[in-house]
Amino acid sequence: MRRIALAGPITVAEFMAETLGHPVHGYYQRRDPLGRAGDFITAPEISQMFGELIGLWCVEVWHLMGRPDPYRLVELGPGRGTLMSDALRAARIRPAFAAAMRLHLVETSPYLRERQAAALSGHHPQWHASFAEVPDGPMLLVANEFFDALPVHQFELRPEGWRERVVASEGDSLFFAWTEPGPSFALLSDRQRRGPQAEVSPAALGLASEIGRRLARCGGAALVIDYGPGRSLPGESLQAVRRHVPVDPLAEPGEADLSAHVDFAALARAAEAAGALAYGPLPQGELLLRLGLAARAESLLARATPEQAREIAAARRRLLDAREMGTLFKALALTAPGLPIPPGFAEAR
Amino acid sequence: MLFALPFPNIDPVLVEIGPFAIRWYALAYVVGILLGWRYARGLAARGDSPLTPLLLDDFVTWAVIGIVLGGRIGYILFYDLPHYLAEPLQIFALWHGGMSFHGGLLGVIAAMVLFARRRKLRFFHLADLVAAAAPIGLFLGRLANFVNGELYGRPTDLPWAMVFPRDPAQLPRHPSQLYEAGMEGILLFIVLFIAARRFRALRRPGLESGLFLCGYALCRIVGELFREPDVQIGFLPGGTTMGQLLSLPMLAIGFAIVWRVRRKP
Repeated sequence: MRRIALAGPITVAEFMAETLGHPVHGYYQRRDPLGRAGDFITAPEISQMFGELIGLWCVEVWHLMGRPDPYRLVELGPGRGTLMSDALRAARIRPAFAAAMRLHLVETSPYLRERQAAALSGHHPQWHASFAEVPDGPMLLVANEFFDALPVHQFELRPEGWRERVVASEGDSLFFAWTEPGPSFALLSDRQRRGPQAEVSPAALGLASEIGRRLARCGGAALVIDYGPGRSLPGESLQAVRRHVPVDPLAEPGEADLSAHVDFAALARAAEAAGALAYGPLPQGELLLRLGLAARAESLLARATPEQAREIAAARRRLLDAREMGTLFKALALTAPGLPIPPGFAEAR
Repeated sequence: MLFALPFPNIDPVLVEIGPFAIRWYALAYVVGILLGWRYARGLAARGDSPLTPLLLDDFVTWAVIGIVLGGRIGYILFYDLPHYLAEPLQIFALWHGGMSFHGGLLGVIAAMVLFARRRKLRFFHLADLVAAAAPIGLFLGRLANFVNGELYGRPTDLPWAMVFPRDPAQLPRHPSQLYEAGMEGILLFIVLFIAARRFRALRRPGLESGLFLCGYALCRIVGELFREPDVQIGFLPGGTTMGQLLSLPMLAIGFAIVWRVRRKP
């Protein structure tokens, strides 16, 4: 963070990368950001139903793949390991699925890795610093709220032409300024270039393309769940959240979670260009309903105490309701060419 | 005497720059810690342990302090307390030698407990990587003991017996430092390497640490059979030595840890 004062303004993307991932001061390196006591909450932390349905989705896709043994079950940014532990509990209905599984977790935070080790101790996960380190082989990949933390470049069409947004400093305070656009400007679509604001994440596009290439070469499928619009839209979406309340992204770098909306259409294009098929994005609520959330909630309610019943009903509402996570969050499926349509994604091509 | 191999008289001082002498012994500690650090980093990067290579970079400083303080305090307490009580300033004369493995072990354990608590890590995730790397340092340390001609063996008439310059009796003796380097260093390293790589022991927290404790204790107890006990202590009752006595609790604790890990899925 001293870097700006010494070396001059940095792009918004560099700012995000530094504040989130810096090995000493970075947001994810220092704390557990999740849960009620943390800064934000994710779908798997709301209810076990979320992870369970994703686990069943994985089992079904594994069958569609022809039950490869071994196969790699990969999760990007597993947080506390809640989603994966719920998913694997639900997947116990097919013991062969767990027996053939090699579990790979992509995580850089040592603190969260310890939490994952505790949550998934019986499954012998292997940790990696990046997706590129995960060995080849047929794979099922899950990424829930991972892409939103990847750095974005922001551009704006100003009276003097296109400019890139940068973070500069004066004394102790940080502020936004504008400079000549960097090389990432070339990644903007024609639609985005109509202005007046545009956002692009080379890191996210690169990762989607890497996943697409891996799926095309080794087989399998990926499920990406995140928040963002279904189509590439103009505008900017960088936001900072601390203790569940939006804050100024520049106020306390490294103290708040930074994220940006995920451009699903661009991810789908990048993965398809690399040889995979893309389905969706679907609203998260719709996918969960198609996968049987209603039935799952009923069966949980059948043996719940009154207090648990209230929690389950509240969780169902948060996961499905358009005003909560139901439509803002979306799910995108990527598959190897030749794989049948993954469950829940029929008519979502 | 007639059949003794000549002791390869290597100068304990590697280079001398003005008033500073770099001894093989000091070099063994430095190189041992550096190589051990790189090796532990490599093991962490393989992903069976949740620890990140960056965390090990942070731990190195803690390890050095643990080894040096623990090794020195352990030597003073276990091996030569009356001498250091009479001449307390000698405590700081590190260049005269006198480090205890068991003291260094306790020092590193203390450093690991503090570091793990501060970084919210599980103790055995850290200890397992350190244990896997420790034989590298032990190997170099025993070679340095040999170069210094200290901690030599018991008299023997074996063809590879040698006379150590610092031996007042000038008898042909076992080069027991080399036996120890072979057992505590090479043999133990290979066992832990195979456990980590072939059997993925790092996935079962505590296993590598337990194997290290058992393996070191056994090697040391066997090695001491060929080694002349420290002059100031001599033999303990029953012909045992201080090194063997200190290794017994290690063996018991190591066995208990392995037993506990084995019972888990």
